[in-house]
Amino acid sequence: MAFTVMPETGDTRTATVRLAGELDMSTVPELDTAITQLVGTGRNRLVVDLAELAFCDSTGLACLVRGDNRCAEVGGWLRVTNHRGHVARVLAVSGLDEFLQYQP
Amino acid sequence: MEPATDDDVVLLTVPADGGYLSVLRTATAGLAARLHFALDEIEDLRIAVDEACAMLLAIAPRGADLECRFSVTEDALTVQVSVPTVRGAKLPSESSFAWKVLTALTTAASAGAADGKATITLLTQRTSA
Repeated sequence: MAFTVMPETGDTRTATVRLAGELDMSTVPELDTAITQLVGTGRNRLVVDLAELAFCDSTGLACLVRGDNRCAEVGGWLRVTNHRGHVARVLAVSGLDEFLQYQP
Repeated sequence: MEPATDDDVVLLTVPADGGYLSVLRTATAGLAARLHFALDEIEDLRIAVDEACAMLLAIAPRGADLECRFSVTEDALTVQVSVPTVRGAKLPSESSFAWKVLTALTTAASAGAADGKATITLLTQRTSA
């Protein structure tokens, strides 16, 4: 399954990023780039929708934390939503689910 | 952890490039399914192999090969992955996050270095009947 990053900008400060496929060390750079671009346009509140993400490893988790740090530098945050199955388990095992869980 | 001689052994060599991680994950899942591992166990092993390979890729020189040896017994799968290493490179310490993931997801995980190669060995015993 090919990895895709689908950013949808909301208002001037928010964006939703839908991920599909597998997030590992070979696809992390695509997400890094997308986050950098969104932050560059002033979006510092990013909701990453993981509904269609089939795989995520520790390099993927590190990318999400890096994204949150990048948003925090400009007064915002990155949160994840709709994780399920394996991806939910990885987030739970790492303890990041509580930290990164999107709460509208 | 040396497997018995009558095991089925599957050897897979791929370029030491992150783009091949998905191939190794798929092979791992396929072999674990053959052993009738439970779905959760297959997922755990899939990520363990991915994490082990990602650690090795970080210390492999450009153009190297990543060698995987899957050894299949009736109720266990041993995966041994190795790469040649760049001079002076070291695997993350056993207190690192990546190692914690490996030991949490497998029955046993160990690492070694010899003759300019680093190797990670993962043993997963099937717990389901």
